[in-house]
Amino acid sequence: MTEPKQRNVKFVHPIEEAFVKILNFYGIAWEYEPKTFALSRDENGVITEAFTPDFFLPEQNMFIELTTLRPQLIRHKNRKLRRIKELYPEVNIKLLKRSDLRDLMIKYEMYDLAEPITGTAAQAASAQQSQQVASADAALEEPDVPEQKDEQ
Amino acid sequence: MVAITLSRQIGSLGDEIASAVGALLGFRVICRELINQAAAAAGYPEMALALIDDFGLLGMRPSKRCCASFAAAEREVYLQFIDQGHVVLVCGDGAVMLQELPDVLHIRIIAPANLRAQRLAAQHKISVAAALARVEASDRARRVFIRKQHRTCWDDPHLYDLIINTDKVTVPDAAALICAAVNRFAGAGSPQEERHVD
Repeated sequence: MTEPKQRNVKFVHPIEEAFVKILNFYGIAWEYEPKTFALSRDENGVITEAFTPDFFLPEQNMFIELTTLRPQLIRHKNRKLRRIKELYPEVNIKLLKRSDLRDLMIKYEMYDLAEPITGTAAQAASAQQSQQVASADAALEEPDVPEQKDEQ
Repeated sequence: MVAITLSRQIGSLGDEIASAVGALLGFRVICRELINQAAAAAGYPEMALALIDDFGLLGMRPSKRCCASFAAAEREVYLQFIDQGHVVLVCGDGAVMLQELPDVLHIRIIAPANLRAQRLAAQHKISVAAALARVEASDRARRVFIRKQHRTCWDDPHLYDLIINTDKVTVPDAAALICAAVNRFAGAGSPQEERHVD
């Protein structure tokens, strides 16, 4: 299995960063936005519409486009993907609708994977966990409660 | 031409055993390559991701059509590797797909779930509870895949020639057991005619 190369890539969206962490976790090699596909040109051959999928997975020979679950965004991207398939039938491309994986990541203690999703339950859980540890530590440090006298 | 299929549970040390067997016998160990090639041949590269994704993080939902195409392509890819001989195919369903082939030894590596969770917890520096959740998720994903694709149970001992529980058996001992089995197997199955694989 090829170890994915670590790169200093600036991601446009946090879900891309989270997705990369999942790919790295599974040891799947990836490239970020390596290719732009021309979708339409004017009469002079100048590109008027193009599409750059988010990722290319070389071992699977597949492009991945990520989207959130907003229906308008999905429709827009689906239209572009259909156009790519018409113009470049040899290209494998998949639209991944990212559902909320934070709970799953927290369950498996994949805090590092959940962390890029800003303002997440992962962070809340992490903070809550820290708070719980702090409370437990504080409880250990509390002076013993005086024993109540038996009133019998 | 002798070949091995090796099915393993997560945390059972199956990958380490496969590597050790490969080194001892001079066999090529093939794992991810199998599913990548089969998925590509099927025309559904996303199937490879679905199989890699034990924990359901990538969100791949392969269709029935995709699974059926993959099953057909998978067998062809397995047979191509088997034809080359001297390979260890690390895969969940090799024993199911290649059951009728006479020169293929089917191995299964297992260990108790709690022990596997402890190993994962130590390896990934997570709690045993989270590790156990990963073990259960992986077992479920692999079990469901075999059941859906082949309508059989991956834990069926009849599928395998040798099952090793790494609770007590170490990686070197497991590798030695498998090598001994392969050597006897290469000797036409007769203990008197034991010979080494060339």
